Amino acid sequence: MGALRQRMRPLIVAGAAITVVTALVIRQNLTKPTSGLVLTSAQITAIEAATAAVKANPSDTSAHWKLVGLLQAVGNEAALATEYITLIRLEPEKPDAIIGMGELLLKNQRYDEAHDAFTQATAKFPTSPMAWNGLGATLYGQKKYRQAVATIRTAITLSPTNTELHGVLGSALMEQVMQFPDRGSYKRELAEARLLLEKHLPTASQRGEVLYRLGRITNIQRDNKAAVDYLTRAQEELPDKPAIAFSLATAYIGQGRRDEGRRVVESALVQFPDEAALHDLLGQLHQRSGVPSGMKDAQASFSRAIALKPNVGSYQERYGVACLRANDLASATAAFIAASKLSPHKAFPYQQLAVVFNRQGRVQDARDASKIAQDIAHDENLLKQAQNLSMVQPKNIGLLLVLGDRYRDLGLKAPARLQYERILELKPGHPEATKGLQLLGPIDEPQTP
Amino acid sequence: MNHRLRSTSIILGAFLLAAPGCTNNQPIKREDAVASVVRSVSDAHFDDATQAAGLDFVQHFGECGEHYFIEQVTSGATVIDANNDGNMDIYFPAPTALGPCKIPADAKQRLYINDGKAHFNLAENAFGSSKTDYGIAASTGDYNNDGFADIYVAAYGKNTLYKNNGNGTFTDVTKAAGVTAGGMCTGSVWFDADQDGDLDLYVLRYCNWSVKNDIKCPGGACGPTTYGAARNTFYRNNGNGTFTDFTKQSKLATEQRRSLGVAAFDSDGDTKTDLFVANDLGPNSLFKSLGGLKFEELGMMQGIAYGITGATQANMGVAIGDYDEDGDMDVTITTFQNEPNSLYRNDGGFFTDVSGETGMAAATLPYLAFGTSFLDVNNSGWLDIFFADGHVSPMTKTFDGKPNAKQHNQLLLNEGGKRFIEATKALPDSNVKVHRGTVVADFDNDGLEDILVTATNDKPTLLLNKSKRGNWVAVDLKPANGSATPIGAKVVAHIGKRTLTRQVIGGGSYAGDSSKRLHFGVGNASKVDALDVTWPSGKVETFSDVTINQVNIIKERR
Repeated sequence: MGALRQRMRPLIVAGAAITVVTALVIRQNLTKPTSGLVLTSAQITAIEAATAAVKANPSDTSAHWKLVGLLQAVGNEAALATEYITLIRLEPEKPDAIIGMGELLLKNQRYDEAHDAFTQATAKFPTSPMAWNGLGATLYGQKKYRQAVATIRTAITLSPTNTELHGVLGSALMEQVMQFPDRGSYKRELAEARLLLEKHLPTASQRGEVLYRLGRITNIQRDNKAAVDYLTRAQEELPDKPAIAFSLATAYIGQGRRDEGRRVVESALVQFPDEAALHDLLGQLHQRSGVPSGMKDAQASFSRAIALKPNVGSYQERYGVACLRANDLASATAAFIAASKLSPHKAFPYQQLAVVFNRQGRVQDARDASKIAQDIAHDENLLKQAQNLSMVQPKNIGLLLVLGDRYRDLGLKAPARLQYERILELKPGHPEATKGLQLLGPIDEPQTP
Repeated sequence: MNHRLRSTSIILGAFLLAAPGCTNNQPIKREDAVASVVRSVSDAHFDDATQAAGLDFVQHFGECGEHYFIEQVTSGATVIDANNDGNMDIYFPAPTALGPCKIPADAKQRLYINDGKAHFNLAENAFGSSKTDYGIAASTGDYNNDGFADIYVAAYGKNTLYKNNGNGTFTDVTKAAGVTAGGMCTGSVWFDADQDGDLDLYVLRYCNWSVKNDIKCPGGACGPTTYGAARNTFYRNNGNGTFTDFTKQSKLATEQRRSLGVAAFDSDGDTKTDLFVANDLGPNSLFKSLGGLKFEELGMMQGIAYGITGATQANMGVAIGDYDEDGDMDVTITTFQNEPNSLYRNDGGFFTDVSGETGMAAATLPYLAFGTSFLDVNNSGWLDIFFADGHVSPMTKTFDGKPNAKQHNQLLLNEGGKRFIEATKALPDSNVKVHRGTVVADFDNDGLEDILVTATNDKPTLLLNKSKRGNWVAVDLKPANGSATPIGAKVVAHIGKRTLTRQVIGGGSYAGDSSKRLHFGVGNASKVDALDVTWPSGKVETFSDVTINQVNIIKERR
């Protein structure tokens, strides 16, 4: 308990407090003994020796750093955290320990504490590119892509030759764009992200991931030729990732090479038979195949997709359409009703229900569904118009507020937050933006509309 | 060319052309027809006759580097028999200068008179000193039933109604007629909405764009959703040369949309003319006529509002025709690149998008099409289809990765009403432009339907049909009210056991009307047993004295 209490005391580092919260949380989790480590006798001997050296001379920072190196090598995060805390106290004038601590927290996806650590690091060591990079990576992990982009840009200014930073910035830019329903409109951001990732690619450690990101970007840019190239290479590097096969197939389809797209999907389904997105895509290919059995095959594929993932509205919608084409009106009705519950703000299920009801002779129901669909479609049109106008008038606070509120209504928290934050940058303290942010609450899950 | 009227009420036209090898009197079988279409892929052939035809001019869009949004949708053309000589003439609208732009001196509206052999002469004085505003599209209709077709020009600014004086000249009567609709109008259609015997007028608006509110986006013009949607306008013909705005009362524009294509036809066989409107980035509208001036919008409920996936598409042009020979009118709609063009099979008033199973989706997915027309390429009786392709953005990358908005057109041949197979090779290699409108007519009177395609800021293309062909019958309808454009009339041709159905469609395609003459390819059949004509008045008459390989002029009995 004595040692515990010791660690709980606020740590004073050159007049700036490393918050109790950070230290506390670290103690409660990261400093738990790391179980399951299997060390060689040489590693054990080396760590014991380094630990003895630290105990013999607790103020010897070089001894502590030597121990840090050994602990990093074996992945003993609990001991590593303890060492970083000690080093932060011993070397208040150096950024290395606090950055190390931040990276350790980041690695464990403890974003709030990592954010604290890196915020303090950047405040105390504003010329440290790694501090800014750490903060940027943390913001990226928190899905605050807009702030991540700004932060990593600072890191790049401080260390322009670090291509790893270019890679992080490119990824952050891409993810920032991915949050928006109208992602194709963000041409400038996509172009920059592509340029940065292409620059980073030759030296990237996670080459497959970078290729995959480039594939996604070029897919959105409708540069299908480049997308096919990147995604083919990504698939070679990461053969176990079904999302790559999906993107590759869509790139082929976009290039007009539908047969090749279909081969990719069918081959991927052998490897990933329970991947709903692939079944759904295969259904779409069947739907447009031009062969007489296309609609029937599509229905079977869509059926499999909804069996695997019944809570995806778009899968239900496509299954419903296939049923409607096959004149299976009962199944179509069920699918569209399910879709309308999953996506209450979409006009599509109601539009289709109007057709189905009319064919069933339920004319008044059809009229009602049609009315609802038209009202929703009207809102969708207004949203598109606001999105387009905001692209050309990015400082129009009124438009940003309209978009923020609408995204919030639609449950698209991440893009909603971006609009409010942009307003607050332009007009600090803007009451409606502040209120909007408060109403949004925390963003728990990835927002990929 | 004059037609002498005969008392039998069927008047044989003077376009006599014997079809080679047409001695078989047996009715054509469906399977024979399929076989003949399969053969026809290699037999289909079109020549680029633009230069020889005298249509060798650039249809400007007012270019001056401003990249105005409107430039994406320009350059229509409409077929009109301006002088009632039986030959199909062509009217091209023209732009005016916008903002700081100056336009070339030759950017003027043009009426080309056809000598009957697809040689055209510019009618220099057809419009006197009259000019339109920024003309985009035109439609042909005899609004005053004087036997001469008139022209309505849809424009950015103010639209113009040109009354055909019957002597080769036209007079701007817009103001007096009260059809001064303005804004950004992309089309119009003439049809008898209230069954009173004269043609009413429906005007399309695309959106609330103007030079003043033009917004620039990276790479050029912004997309259409940058601007608010707009409401279309309906004018009721008062029967005395004037019109009254009846948009609200008719319920023909219940929602604001971005309308680009329009066609008037009988969708459900009740003899009343319904109205179909293709809306960009929104659901299509089908206004079903309930009689009188009552319409109900049923696009969504009848299954024609959305495409094969059920999703909203960038709907642009529209073609109407009975592709599957079941007696009702089917609908094709052109769409954006990476969206399949839609083919809606008419199942008794309900529509089913069959573009997937007919092969149309797979064939058209890679292209952006505006204009479209059904036509019978080889006179087999089966309706084939033509698409005028061209992107809206010069930054669009083609499949080889180079930015280019130019695309080649597409010709799909009908395989027995079940499938469409691509026969684009039948089109000339020069067939690569930013195409927009397309209209169909037998310009050289050889018994084969030809195609005129317009292109933005480029020369139009006249594609003369030189395919191997079967026999044919063409029909010019002369209703009792004297109209030169009997929109809404239906003709069913009985050829042995086979029946072919055609309607005189109002509007169709994009930004211009095709010929109002009905064309029936009859394959190897050497005679047509009878023609059942449903006149716009509702009267049904049967005519049996039909001459093959000729234009038959059929007059409604009073």
